[in-house]
Amino acid sequence: MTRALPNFRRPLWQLLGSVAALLAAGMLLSVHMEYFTALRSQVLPAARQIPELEQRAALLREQIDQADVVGSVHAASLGEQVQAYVLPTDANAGRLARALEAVGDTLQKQNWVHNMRVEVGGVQDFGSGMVLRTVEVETAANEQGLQALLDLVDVSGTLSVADALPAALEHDLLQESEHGSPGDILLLQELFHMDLPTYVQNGADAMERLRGNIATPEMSNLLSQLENVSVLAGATRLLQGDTGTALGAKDLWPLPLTTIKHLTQEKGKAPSWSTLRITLNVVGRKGSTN
Amino acid sequence: MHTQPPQAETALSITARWLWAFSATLAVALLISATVGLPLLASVATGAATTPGRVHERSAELSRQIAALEARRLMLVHPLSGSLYGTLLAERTQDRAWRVALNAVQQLAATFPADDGGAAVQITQIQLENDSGSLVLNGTVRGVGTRSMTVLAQFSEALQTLPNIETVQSPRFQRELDPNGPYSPFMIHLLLQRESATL
Repeated sequence: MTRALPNFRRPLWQLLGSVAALLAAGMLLSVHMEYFTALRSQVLPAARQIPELEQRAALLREQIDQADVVGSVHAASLGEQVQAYVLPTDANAGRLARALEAVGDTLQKQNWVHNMRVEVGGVQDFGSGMVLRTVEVETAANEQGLQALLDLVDVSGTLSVADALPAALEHDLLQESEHGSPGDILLLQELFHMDLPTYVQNGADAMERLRGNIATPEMSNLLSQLENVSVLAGATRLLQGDTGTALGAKDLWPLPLTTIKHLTQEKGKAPSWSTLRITLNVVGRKGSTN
Repeated sequence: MHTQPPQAETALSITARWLWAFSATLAVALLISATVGLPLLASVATGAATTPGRVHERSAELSRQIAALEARRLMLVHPLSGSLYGTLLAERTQDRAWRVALNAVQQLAATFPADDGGAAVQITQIQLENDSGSLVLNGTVRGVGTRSMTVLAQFSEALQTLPNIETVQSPRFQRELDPNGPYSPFMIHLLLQRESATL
């Protein structure tokens, strides 16, 4: 036997139930609103990007497949050059001293420097398995002579064009290479792998091939910025003339990584001539006996 | 047997019944929509048979893949970029502030003309200590008569505006006299802006 609700109570329960159901409906509506907002502002943009990301990943894989063989061989060769010449054991500065003498002789013939003296100093620990050796250079030089000597220090230790590039320019060039066919990465790789003497000789041709294959204004603009990269500009000044010939004839490239520790420039008696005293640091690896 | 006659429904009871029916139906419909309809809609909108959570996961996964592929590509065109050699070379590259500063200082000195048309600011010695980033300029201001100290002050102020120079220590101002006329010798200490420690 069931007891029916009194007549005055049933509408009351229905009203209360309605209020509860409307509150629940309001909350569910708010869930819908939030969902749609998130869908429009986050999910849809992310979803639209997915095909582009997949396409870019596929392109990068193709570029890597193309560049893999040459890149791996080049890496091994560079590693050997770093060990042998750029960061020599005990910061052996014999090669740098010979390069300074070769460049000094050439600059003297051009009447840009006089009475150059080079003295190799002792070695000191630099930590982390590295050592430094000082090299003192004293000479009279005019402005061109000073610039040539500073260029020599600037380009020392730089093995390839890629090593000379600022990271931002390198990144932009790689990004722009994606506008060509995947095989065009080989042209960029060829330019990046060039050692500086080769760049001075053939860099313009390599850049022209790149401009031809990836004919975007941005690529052309980025390649023109290479002229302003200080190491490449210094290498061009130093290596394309007699100084470059002198270094090449004595097989003095690459040079050990060198930095300037101390420089004094005193005005000379002749106009635009000065006396230079430069202390260089040659960086190297600690030898096994040290 | 005594039975009660059916009472006529009041307006309140009719309204309450309809309101209850409407609100309950609405709530149930929205519940079904939230649990089934919305994910279905998202799948259609994104064009993929997947949930919004999967869209973000896929996007993040692809971004990670692209970063790894970019790193691999960089290694193939610039193999030693992340090595000790690469780090030392990058430090050396950042260590050229002095060369830019020195050029700027020499160009600036040439912009102060002497009365005879030559350069009033004559730098006779430059000393660079690259480890500490200090540049010391020795020289004289001459050929401008008794204005030598004024020109020195102008030169010192102008040095502050040059690129790659952090601080300029104000020189000692004095005027001396020699057979060529009044002049002001100076020694100015400059501290260069450094981005990283040098070797």
